Amino acid sequence: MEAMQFLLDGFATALTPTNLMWCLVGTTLGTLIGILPGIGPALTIALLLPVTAKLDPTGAFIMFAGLYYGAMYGSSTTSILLNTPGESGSIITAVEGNMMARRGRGAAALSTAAIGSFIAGTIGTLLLTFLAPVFVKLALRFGPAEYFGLMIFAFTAASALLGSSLLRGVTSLILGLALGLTGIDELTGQPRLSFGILSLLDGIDVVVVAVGLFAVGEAMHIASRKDLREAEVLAVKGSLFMNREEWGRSWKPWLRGTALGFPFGVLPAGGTEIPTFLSYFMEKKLAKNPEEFGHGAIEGVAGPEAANNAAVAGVLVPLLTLGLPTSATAAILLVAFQQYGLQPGPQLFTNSGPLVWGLIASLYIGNVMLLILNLPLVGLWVRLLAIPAPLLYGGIMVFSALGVYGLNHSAADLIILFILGIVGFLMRRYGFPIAPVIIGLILGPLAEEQFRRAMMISQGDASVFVTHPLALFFLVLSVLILILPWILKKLGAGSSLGEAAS
Amino acid sequence: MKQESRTAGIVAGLLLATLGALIALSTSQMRIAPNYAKMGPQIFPYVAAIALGVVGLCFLIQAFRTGSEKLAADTDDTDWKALGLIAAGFVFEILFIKWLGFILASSVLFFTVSLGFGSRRYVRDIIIALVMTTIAYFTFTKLLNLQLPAGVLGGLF
Repeated sequence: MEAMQFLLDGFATALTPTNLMWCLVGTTLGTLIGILPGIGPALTIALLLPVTAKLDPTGAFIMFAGLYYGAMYGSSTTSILLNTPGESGSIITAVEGNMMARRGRGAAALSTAAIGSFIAGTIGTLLLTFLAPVFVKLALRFGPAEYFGLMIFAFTAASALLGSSLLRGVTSLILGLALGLTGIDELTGQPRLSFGILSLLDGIDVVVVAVGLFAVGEAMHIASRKDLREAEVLAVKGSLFMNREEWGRSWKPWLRGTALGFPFGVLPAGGTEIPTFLSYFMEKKLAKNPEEFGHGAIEGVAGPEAANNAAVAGVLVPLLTLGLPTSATAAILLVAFQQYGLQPGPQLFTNSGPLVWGLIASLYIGNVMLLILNLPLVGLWVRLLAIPAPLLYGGIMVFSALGVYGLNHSAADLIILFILGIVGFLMRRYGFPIAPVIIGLILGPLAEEQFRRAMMISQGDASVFVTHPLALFFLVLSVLILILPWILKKLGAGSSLGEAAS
Repeated sequence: MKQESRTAGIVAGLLLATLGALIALSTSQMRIAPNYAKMGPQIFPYVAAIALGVVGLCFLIQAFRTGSEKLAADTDDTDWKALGLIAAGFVFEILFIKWLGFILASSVLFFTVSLGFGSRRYVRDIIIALVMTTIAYFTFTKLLNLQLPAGVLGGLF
């Protein structure tokens, strides 16, 4: 049980007043951005990167992790009271939770979401604590060929499973890859895909891409659709204390949601959407009164909310132990590590043990903070929803421009931001998922690095990817993921998941 | 609706294929040292170019095969005026952030965005815009040491 010892040391790090403060800042900020529609954790962490560059890395990561967890808590409040998902992992909550609120049980919906998130987040963090050392041992055996295979698997999983269609997911991913390749090649110093434009030589900053696609694109999308601009905020009605029946109907979905969410986070399947959908359908199947679903069934809030929080904990396993981001936020977190000269992976645990274990310990503390922030204090947060959309999005656009201009003080970055904003708008309008772009942008150059290292070691012999059993395994798995939906369609099994996602 | 999906599919396919061709062209002009031929900086751009060509082709095929998949968003009701206002504000910010300074240029951006989102309380919006950008300016320049252009207001501070 060496993990126990590390964890205790981690608590010693996390419980210092400074780090507790960062945890509180992160969880509060996370709840805030989770509640506000239009901004999410990936975007916020990207905007914070330049400001946090001078901070102590441990404190910064404690804040970022609290922010990631907090966004999941906060978004459920928006979904329930506004019928607009604060984040993509809360789409289901926006349906079922909002129906509960309309029937005067909004407070119970908020409670089951917050307590479910707490339980799932805590179990997920426990699993992270004990799985991480196992993953580290496994990862130590990985060479470049294995990493390359794993990354290709992450690529295909992300594009196949995020969004409504495989073709669009793959397109998004390739666009991200192309953006990631832009700029000077690190190995040879040659400029690539810069088309003679000077400001493209340094590459396109992830902050610009994230802010452009997420914030500017989202603002344009909402502005262009009158039906999305006007949403009605429901008041919190009823007691925040759930009655016996509501507890009885909630606890099993919490646990089942956790069981679904965590593995999906760990696998390079990307993000929180799928486990929340799966959890919803599972609860509907298992429910005694499935006809209540769609009209405000508490199980339909409890399960998916637990699933998305457990998935967030799961996402941290491959991120910390393998350096493999499986969601847009994880990809930005990876950039944050690189900013401090740290490379997530097995070495991180040996070289920066106090940081990693302090971070993991802070997740337990953050969960407790979030439960308090989101239950007794929910009334305070609800007032944020009263901010009129014109002012909210005006503010989001000003801070987007500020964050990007602040990077290099160049108007060229603002032009790129504007173009990417239009791209983000068009992608939303025509149903292309955004997250694969960010994953392609970050993971693409990393996959290329591993590919070239493997090829150098083998002196240009591409068969290394087939002769190394693990590398071959991942590549075969990737092919399977790409053709499986097609086979299922041929077999007439239909894709209830795809239908649900669209 | 169907007609629009088909056009959108064709446009998407052509755009993606063109982008792929551009990337391939730009990559083909790189000079690769012979010892890097098999693992050089050109491989991944070529992969991206080919992949873009393939997905572009898929979109074209899909569009011509009756557009079995719905391409356009659920609604055709696009508020182009709102988009135009936001774009105008953004272009203004790009052109004038140095000269007018962060506070004034960003206030204009804030105002056009709020107009785009349908607000008609002009005075309130302008006051909020000026207050918010001023607070942001001083927080970032004085507290966080992130320099922002002062512009024509520079003499005042």
